[in-house]
Amino acid sequence: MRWPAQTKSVFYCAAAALFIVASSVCAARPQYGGVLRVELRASSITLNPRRWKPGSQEYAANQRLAGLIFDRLVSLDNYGRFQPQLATDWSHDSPAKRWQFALRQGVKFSDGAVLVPGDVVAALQPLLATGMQISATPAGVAIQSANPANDLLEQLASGSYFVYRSDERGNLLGTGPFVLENAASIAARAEKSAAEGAGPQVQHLRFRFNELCWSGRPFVDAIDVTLGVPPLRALLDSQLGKADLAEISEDTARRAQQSNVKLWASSPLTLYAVKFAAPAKSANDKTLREALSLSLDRNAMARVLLQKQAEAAPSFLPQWLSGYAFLFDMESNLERAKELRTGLAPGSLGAALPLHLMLDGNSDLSKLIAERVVVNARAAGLTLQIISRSATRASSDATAAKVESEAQLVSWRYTSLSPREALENLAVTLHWEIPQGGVPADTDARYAWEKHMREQKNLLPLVLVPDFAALDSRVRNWSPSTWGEWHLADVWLDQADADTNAHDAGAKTPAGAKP
Amino acid sequence: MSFRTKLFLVFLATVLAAVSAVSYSVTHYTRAAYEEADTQRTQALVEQFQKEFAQQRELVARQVENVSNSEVTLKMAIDLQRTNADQSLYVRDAAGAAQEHGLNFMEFVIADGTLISSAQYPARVGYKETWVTNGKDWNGTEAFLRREELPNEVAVALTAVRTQPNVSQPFYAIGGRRLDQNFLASLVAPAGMRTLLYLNLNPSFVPGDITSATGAVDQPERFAPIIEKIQKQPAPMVQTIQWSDNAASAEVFHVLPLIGRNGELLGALLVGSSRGDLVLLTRHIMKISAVVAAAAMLVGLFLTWWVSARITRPIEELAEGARDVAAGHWDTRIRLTGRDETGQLASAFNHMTQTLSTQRERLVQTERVAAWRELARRLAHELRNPLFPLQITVENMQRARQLSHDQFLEVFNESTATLKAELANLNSIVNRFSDFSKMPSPEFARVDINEAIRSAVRLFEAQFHELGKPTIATEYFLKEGLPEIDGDPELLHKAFQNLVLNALDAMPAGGTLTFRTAETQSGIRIEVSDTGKGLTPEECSRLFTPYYTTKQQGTGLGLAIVQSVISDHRGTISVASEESHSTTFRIELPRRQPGVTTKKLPPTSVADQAAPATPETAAASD
Amino acid sequence: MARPATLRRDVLSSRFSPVSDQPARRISTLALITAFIISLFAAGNQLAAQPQTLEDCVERLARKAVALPHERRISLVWTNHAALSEQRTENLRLIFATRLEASQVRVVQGEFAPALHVSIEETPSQIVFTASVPAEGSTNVVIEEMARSLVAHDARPSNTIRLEKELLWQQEARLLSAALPTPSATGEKKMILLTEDALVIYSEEQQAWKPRDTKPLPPGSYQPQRSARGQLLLADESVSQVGILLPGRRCETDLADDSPVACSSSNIEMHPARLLAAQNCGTHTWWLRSDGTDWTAEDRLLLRNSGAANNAVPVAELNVPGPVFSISAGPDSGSAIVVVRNVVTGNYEVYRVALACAN
Repeated sequence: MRWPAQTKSVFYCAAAALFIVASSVCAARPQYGGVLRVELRASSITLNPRRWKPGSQEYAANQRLAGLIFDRLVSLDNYGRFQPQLATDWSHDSPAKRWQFALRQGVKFSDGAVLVPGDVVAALQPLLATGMQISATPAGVAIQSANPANDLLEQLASGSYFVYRSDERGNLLGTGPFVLENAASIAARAEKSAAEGAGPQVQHLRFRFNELCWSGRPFVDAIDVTLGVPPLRALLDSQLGKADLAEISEDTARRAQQSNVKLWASSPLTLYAVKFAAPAKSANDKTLREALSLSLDRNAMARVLLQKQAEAAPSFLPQWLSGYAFLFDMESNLERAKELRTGLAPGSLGAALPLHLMLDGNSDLSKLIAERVVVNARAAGLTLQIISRSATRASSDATAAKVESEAQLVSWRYTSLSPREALENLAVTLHWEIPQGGVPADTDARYAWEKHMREQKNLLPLVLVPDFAALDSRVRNWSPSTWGEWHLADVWLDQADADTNAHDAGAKTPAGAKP
Repeated sequence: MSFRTKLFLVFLATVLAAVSAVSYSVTHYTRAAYEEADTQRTQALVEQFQKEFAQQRELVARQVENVSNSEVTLKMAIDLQRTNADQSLYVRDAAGAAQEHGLNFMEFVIADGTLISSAQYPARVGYKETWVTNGKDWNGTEAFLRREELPNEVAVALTAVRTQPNVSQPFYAIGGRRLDQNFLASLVAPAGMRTLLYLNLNPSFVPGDITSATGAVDQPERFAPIIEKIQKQPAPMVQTIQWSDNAASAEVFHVLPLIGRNGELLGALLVGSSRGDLVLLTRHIMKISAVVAAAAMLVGLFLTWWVSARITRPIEELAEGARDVAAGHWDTRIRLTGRDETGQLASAFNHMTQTLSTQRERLVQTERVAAWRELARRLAHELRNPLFPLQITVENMQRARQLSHDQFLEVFNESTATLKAELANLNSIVNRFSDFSKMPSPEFARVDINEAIRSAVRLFEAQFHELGKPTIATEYFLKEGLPEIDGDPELLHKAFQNLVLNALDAMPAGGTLTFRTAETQSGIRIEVSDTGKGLTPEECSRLFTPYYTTKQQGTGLGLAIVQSVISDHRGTISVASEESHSTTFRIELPRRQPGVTTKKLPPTSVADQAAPATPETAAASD
Repeated sequence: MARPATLRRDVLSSRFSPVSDQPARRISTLALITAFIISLFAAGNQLAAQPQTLEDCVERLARKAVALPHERRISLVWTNHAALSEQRTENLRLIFATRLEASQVRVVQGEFAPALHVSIEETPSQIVFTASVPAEGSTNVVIEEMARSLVAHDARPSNTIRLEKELLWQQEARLLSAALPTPSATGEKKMILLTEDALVIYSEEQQAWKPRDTKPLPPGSYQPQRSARGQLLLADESVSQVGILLPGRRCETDLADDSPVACSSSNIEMHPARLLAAQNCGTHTWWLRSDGTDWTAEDRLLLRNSGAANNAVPVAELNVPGPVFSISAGPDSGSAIVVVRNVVTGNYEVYRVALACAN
């Protein structure tokens, strides 16, 4: 039964008053100072956007850290509004082939050098797609595209489109809120490792605030980043108060939920899929792939196996990125899969011969998903066998080492806000045949193309998994974007809470329970 | 083989047999006793393993029961019974439960058989485990063996199923321990024993599926026959594996089949007991036995030698003495040792030789006397013959003194002729005696006997075909290629002459004289046969006695000379006769004479150099 | 077609919440007003530069849909998963249906006809309209999208949820828990307070709470020495049945009569939390829990989606002046009664905390 209406209005006013009072009494103002301790899974990073490999998990870590020291031309807020960053204004012509960006004046790099249009051109030109040209203009830069670039802002607001420059020693400098300390030695190591073909092996990074930042100094004095922290350890550190922000995995996210650690989850950003090594050549191949696809219960995989920490992926692009992923059929039909299985040639792959599913790396999640794929396939009568690449390399059995896999479990991390660009990156990496002019910009055409590629079944999407992070209670103003960018410049640390935590190194008492 | 050697061998054999028998007996009974003890020990240990296995079953059942009855499981079960319960909440709980309760496998299944959580195969969550829901009341059942599907392999697990007792709908907790080397390690094996586990996950034997508490097993393929046998017939059995040529490497395996809930063979537990100790003990015993036997044999050897020496020496001395006696040393004496039988034998031998010596001397004296008497008789006889005519003639001459001068002269001439003849006869007799006494030592040379016979007979050819006298036919059966022998040609010639003369004398009416020669093993044989009147046995026995003759004339020395020659040639002569039919003289001569360096004579026949045979000199009377 | 269940939640959760966290929530009303003013300016500027509106978008969608083979008689299924108000959504639907009607496609309601599904989705930068057009056994899809930044501000998310509190009672003596049953049929309101040794029932008279009855708890030292605790539970089906959770005990009594409080042993743990739902905030439910602190600091009440993790970022927060001891049932499904000990005064205070949706 509800309160009377007049009392209700009085109540609301009182509540409003209370809110105002409460706000004035209880509103916590941002505090400056402190060191934000961050732990990341990636064991190595490279801050040079040119070296980032689209789709890789390392891309996300690189991007997050690059975002501390570099700026983009524009950014996108959580309301869908493009916010000016290094560009204060932009416009484009009618076909959206030529875009003009006015650069913010007075922006300085961390070494004090003024940002000029030439810097933007030098930074962005190598990153732009083929057919796009960036040039300096008196007021800023202009980007000329051979095709309409309606999604240029989405591209520029995400991914690797950071503005930076190199100093005479080869160090990368940016205009962002933080500066990487000991950049010289890290850069030198990074270059060396890159020349050797591996990312720089850095374990510990320190970013201090950039007092020259055009957007004002960040709240925290510095950010300490520790790399290569396994998710379980990260969770433990978070529970013990040794880390303020720790990147964790989906299974540790579940554990975090059961403990008292604050948990953040992004939109589903990483696609897990089964990739076939080569396009289907014969009708038998096609039947096999169809049967396999139909045998996969993606919903159960996401809901049950991954304990709702993931979403079933009906197609390549996640729903939050394309807006139309729900139109794709989840394609789970075990009976039909069994029927197709009986139609496979007796001695063929999946029937008498096992289909080898290569598993890269030692990720528990990958392994779990791969095992589930095998179990699903087996229910339809298909024979799959998992081959672990690391185990194969370590194997002294020359025969095992030479086993070729017909399929591979892959993960693809989405980092672009442009669904067209995201799809194109995926297609390029997987060597798909892309229409002339690239993946269509028009949504209908893009949907149709994605549908077509989905039907080719060279890539069977499985699930989409978000990013997870554990947060300490002293972290305030945590406002990441749903697509995984952290905006650590806006974070501040509650020093009072920090002091309390310093005395209480154990886990906090559960909510509601009092000593 | 000497008596000493025989005695030695016999004694040795006795010792060997005794030692072998003792060694064998000791080895056999010791081994039997050890094997018995080993079998009992193994059996006890196998039973212990079975008991431990049963305890493991109970432990697993208890652990699963603890999981099932825990608060956490109860809460999970209660929550999952709600409509639209969020099953995903508990996906990881089985892993925690397994770890907490020390189990390798853990699964939770709700009433409709849906797998809620799996520690060992999380990817199977959401699938149905119908075998659990089809089961009966699980809470009373003991743990059982089960084939457990894992992501990358298949394992065998000791599994128990329990249901949560405090919820209305069944909520199953399925837990287990993996049968692997860790499981084996938990079964304590005493020294010398080991446990192996074979997981029967394939229709045929797979070497990689057999494991021990420490990991991989050496030579796993050696277990193939055992496993194949138990796959055909899953029943406990005992098998032995000989790992190498060394018998100590043998190992006895008690094989216990591990049967699943539905009667399928899921594995086999092999309890191995090394036979090395037994073999080593046996070898040790054998070694000791061998050492003892060798020592015994050495001792036996020594003792045998010593005993046999003690026994056989007197016998050897006796034998030596007998040989000496046979060689003519009739005064041989044996050294007396002891008063035992050998001593008595030695004493008897000495007595015998002494007696023989004495009797020989007496015999020699007697024979000497007899020989002198015989000689005197013979001499008297021989001499009487010519002496009587001498006497008559002298008497005639005395009487003829009465006659006229012419009559006296006639008688005187006739009487002197007669005196001369008889004196020549006397002279001949004396010469024969002188010849006999002066028989020279043979001078050996290589002699062709066949030729010697021919040359000796050739001298008599004229006589054989003398006109007016019966013909003597001669037959020769002389072996061609008869080897030459060491002989004195002259003496042999003389001997052959005497034999021929003797045969002539034995065939006054003619007959056949046959000569045979043959080669024997040690020499040659010569046979001279006549077809005369033969001899009586008494005559045969005395034939070679000097001066013994069966003829009215003759000195009786011919055959004695033959015998003497033959004897000088170290040969033998014998006679065989058939009265009134034939007589055969058999001579055997050795091929070689010891210590003699013979010279080969020129081909000229020695007989040609000999004096022609004359009735006087060649007279042979037997 | 399968709909990702998280999307709606995503829309309503803090994933698209303002950049600032706590401060923004605490001043959400002011922020809304401010943002409204600012966005008016921004939207105005942008609208002048951009030719597209949602209505244009829907028009184009409809034109595309009818350009494809289609049924002549359809039922329109309209789904909104974007942060658009219902009124706005409804307007768009009408525009679409009007366009179809104009193209000789009859839109029926309440009759069996092939369904034309239109779904409004949201991406970080776009509002995406998809139409699945049925045509003789098959389905064609057309898609239109427009930049979210061009969407007028009145289409902003208007069902922001927040918490509001009202002080109902305070006392010096220790208070373990409090609950407000649903008012009786006569409108009588009661308040039940649980102290260490008794259940005290108050009723409201002339806007003041007067004690009506006291039911002592059965004697027995079952409270932890330093931290007494207890929880009142109200039965959903009976306004007078009251349950009490004490450490190791569960007690019951009926307020309608003089029956004593009867207790029995129990292992049920106390987790103060309340599931709230308010009709004007949609059909969702939220958990209200305290952030958890010691007795020396203020606490926060956190509102999270019922399906979200215990430690997901909360949808709304509310500061209280001290540690929260109990969260119990309120007079309706959208409110809870919270017992707080004021760290400044030391008094035990009873608050009614309610969901509020500015709609």
